Amino acid sequence: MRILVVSLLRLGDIVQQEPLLRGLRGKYPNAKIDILINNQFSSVEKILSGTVDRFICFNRDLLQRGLGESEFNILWSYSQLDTLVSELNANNYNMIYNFTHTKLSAYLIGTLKADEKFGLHHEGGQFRGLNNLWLKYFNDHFSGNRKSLFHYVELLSNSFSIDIDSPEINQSMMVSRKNRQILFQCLTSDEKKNWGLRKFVQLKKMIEECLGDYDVKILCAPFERQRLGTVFGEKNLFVSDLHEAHQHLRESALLVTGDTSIKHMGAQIGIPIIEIVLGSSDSQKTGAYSKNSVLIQSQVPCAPCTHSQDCSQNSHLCADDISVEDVFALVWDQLSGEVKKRRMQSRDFERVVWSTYLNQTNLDDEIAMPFTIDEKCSDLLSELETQTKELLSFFHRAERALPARAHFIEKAVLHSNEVAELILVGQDILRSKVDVYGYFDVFMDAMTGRFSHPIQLFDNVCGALGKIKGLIAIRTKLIDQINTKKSKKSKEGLYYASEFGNASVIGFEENRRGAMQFDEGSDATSTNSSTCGTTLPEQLQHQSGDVENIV
Amino acid sequence: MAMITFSENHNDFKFMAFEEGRSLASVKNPQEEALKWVYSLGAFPANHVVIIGLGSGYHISALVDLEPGIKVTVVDSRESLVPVFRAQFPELKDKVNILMASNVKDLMSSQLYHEIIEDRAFVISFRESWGQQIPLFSEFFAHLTGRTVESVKYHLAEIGINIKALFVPPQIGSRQLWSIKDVLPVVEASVISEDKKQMFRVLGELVK
Repeated sequence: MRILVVSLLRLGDIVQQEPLLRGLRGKYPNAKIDILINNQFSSVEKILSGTVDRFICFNRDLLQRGLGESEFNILWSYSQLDTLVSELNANNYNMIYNFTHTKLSAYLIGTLKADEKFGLHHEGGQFRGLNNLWLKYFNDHFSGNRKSLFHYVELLSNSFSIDIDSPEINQSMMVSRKNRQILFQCLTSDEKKNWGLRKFVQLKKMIEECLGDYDVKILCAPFERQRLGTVFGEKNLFVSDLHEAHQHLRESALLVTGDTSIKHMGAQIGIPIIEIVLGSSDSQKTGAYSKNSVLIQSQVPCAPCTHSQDCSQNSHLCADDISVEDVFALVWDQLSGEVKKRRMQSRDFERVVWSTYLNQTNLDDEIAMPFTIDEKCSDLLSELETQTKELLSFFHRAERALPARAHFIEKAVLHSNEVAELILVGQDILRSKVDVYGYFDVFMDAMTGRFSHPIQLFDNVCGALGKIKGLIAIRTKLIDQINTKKSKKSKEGLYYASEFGNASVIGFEENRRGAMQFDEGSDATSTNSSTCGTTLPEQLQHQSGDVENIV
Repeated sequence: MAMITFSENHNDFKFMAFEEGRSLASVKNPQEEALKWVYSLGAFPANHVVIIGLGSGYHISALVDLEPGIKVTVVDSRESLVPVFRAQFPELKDKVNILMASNVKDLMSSQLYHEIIEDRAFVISFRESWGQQIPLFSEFFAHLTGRTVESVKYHLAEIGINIKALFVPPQIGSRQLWSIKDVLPVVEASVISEDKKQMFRVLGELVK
């Protein structure tokens, strides 16, 4: 069997795909796997060795030169592309996976022959692959400013049913705790994502004064040498290419970094990471995907800002908001291996709702809850119940505001006043800011999308309402399920407490560790009873751990 | 036709070409000028290079010297330059083809033109050698790179799109060069295989 993975993204994204490639290898152990990457990132071959059989280069720069410079024949790039397509088709691929999810990659896959194509591709004049709900979620929530509940790697893993959590895949994630070297990756590709060299100097000094055992080194690319050398001194620099940086990471105890491809490499190795999230970085979508990563992020209102635009503020607010002491505290925690206590958050709940929907889980069965429940979840639960009521109320309003189908069939042209009530509902949803996780995004898309006949608007809105109804049903059922478990646990606690005479329920809670480990659906370790009692499986834990450390 | 004259270069005793009294290469140091020009071009993306402008020939000699494996064709309209060039650079006899054309019609009807187009040759200009021929050589450049209405039609026929009339977008004046963006709507509206259309769509994404 031959498989082609199309990954025409930037360096960090390709490095980030490593668990997916390993998962694909695990899924098809006997297949020959090729990967198509942009030629400017061909150096990634050295650090992804063993995951795929062959790296094939897509010479994007040269193709663009051929299209943009008048010295080239107008069809020069066409000929080059034609040659590449012929070479790829000669390999007779059985399957093609699109890890890129761009129109370019979709069209390119459209030119290729394969028995099966996974991911976005263009065929028969239209884009295909979006009937996969996970991929649709990726499509709708990943680009632009919409929030995503899931990480890029998680979304692709679910879209393509690639297991990224198997022990074989995590085998590579082993770093010796005896390492006594801390690495800083101070510069990113975007100035507004930089924390500031002055702060890194202070942090280095603080670490070396307080943690005498540790030596701080600065990772830098050859072109950054002069800039960093004048600040840190030449002897403190590790001037490295990608492969050498990989080696340095393996020999280190901790990486402090901004949003760089080095963080993805660190995640791949399993080294503890502190990620300083600034500017347009969106850690929920593309943070370091590792359980050993924590992040620190400013809460200034302008963050995260828009990608590819200069900082709009007079000073670098998000960087100024994160002090050297804040980062040092995380360095301390990471090196001591301290696991911070965390409370169940609404995001954990929303992830279960959405993954239940995206997996099309049968609602007659119990929804798997990857967290444990206790009485201290009450505040969060009541907040979730209130939100559900508000969402349900908007849903009913939208349902009532939608005119009958017959009304649309008769119309050749639709005036906005004929759907004014529906528009008002949309405006109210946006104004209320209750829909943080995009339950009504599909409704908004339907309302603002193009249509050639009014009936299409009706059908789109109907489809959107059906989806929203499904999501709210899951949400309601999950809340009921949590409530049932909570009351069951409460009674259980009282029963056991009675055995101890007048021992208080709160006093008993200190010894509830054993009981919590028997909680259904939870394979995670137990938590201290003074926390909310939410434990997440490994997959979720690292992300939620990130949230814990947000400043 | 402008007057071509020759004068001996005291550095290497070769003849320098002049058009209406203006030199077609640096009078002080034509070799150095030619070398700088070749180095400025970088690596060639094609095995066939077309140079517009024969001039005094130093730039052609320098290019063949530095890129010996490349097929070189020179296009010019001034026939009097050819015998002097052949006499001064006899070592280039089998390495450089010369296409003489006094107008676009001559150019497009020659066999060499079809070879240039088929090879998707890389077309470069040594502007110092153009002298008084700038308007004509600009036209040559557009045709040789396939960026005129006529040559676009030729190209589209090559990939199976047979059109009698091509809609010329308003932004394309007669003096502007066509780009792939101008070709895309024509391809989309044509009856050709979906595979070929997909390739043009990929190219369309690359120029966004």
